[in-house]
Amino acid sequence: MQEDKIIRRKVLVRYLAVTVFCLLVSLIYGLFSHGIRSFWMNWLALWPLVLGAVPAALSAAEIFPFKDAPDENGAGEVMKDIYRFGIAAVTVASFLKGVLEIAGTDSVYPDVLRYAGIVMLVCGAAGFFFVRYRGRQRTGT
Amino acid sequence: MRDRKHRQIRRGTGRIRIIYAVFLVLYSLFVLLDTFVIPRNIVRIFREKGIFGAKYDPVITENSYDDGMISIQIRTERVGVTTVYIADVQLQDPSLLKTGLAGDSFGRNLAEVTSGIAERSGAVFAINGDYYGFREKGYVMRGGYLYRDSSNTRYPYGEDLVIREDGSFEIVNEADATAQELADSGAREIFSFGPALVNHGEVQVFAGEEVERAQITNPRTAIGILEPLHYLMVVSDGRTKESRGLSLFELAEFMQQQGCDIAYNLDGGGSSTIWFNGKVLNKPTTYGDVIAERTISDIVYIGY
Repeated sequence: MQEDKIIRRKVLVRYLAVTVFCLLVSLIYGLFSHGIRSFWMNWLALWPLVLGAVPAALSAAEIFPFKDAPDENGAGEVMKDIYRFGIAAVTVASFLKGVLEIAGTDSVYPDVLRYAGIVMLVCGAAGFFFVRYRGRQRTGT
Repeated sequence: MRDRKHRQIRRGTGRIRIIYAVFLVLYSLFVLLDTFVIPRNIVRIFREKGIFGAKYDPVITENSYDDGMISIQIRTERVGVTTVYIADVQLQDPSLLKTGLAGDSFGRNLAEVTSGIAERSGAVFAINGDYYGFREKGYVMRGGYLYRDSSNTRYPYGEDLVIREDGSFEIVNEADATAQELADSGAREIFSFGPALVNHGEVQVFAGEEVERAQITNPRTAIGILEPLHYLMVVSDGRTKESRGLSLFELAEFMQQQGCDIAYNLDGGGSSTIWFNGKVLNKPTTYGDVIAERTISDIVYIGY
């Protein structure tokens, strides 16, 4: 249990580090973009913050549904990874779209990545809660 | 048993994470190469020699040209802290207002400097066009041939300049007509950068309006029509200490003050270039540090 707490805090710190990194990228790119702005670049740090750090903070504070439900076959970890892949996809897509918009051009490919990321987010989150719910039902925790 | 299984899962997912990270990097590289580097959708054009020739040997000075069919007067003005180059162009035939493409081809990521396209086209005078090649959408018609009919109505795009066979201008919104309809109605050239600056003599942009991602003050390129076959082509320098640049509103006001009935904003920033008789007249720059022509996808020129 103590080990789980430490792991959750490490995850939170990692998400916060990624958020800060994205914020720095956004600010530095903004310095060299000569006043040209893009929503996707301005709010780059939003995705790891809201999608990653906030749930991780809730988990570290143990304010999380099914927090004590077991994950006997590790399926919950797999779902978490899918969710994280979704955060990465949405964040990278936001960066690419920001770069293109600031340059004054467009491409369909960042949108494709963003939609794939959203699918992964939804599947990962839904799958994680389903696995935990089933685990809780099975063990009665 | 459970811990061992979890360790195995973590090892497996660790490898998948690395593969996924590599995939994201490669995907990003692909997007950037596809957007900025890889030429595609290439259609070679065939430039036809015009049927007209000069009425007499051209009289050429440093800032003027006259051969009886084409008359160009170029002057420079200071608008505030900005240097503006104005070309007053009068033609005897609308076919003398032409467009040229980089590498004489239509396609994405095909680019050439304005002077290169102008010299190869045999132009007397040229300005940069709407850099269609930097975008995936927006109508593109050049020399009567429709190259792209995908519509882009997302603000600030969607307002097009249509040049008709008789040399007249019209501002058309892409939401109101398909490219084919415009082609069928007699359009010869369609530009899709925008926005419209002046229409029926009235300024069309408001103070503070910008081309989405553009700086407030910029180098600018604009084309306008005063009366039939009488055009104004304007380029302003910007992003330097000597010349700050114009906002869209300032550009629109300037074109209106010059008497334009219709005026349209073409690609600005580092693309803004005015070329006359073998020389680039302005100081094109992307970031204000280096004065050099930017490669662009198309030009508007005067020639035979």
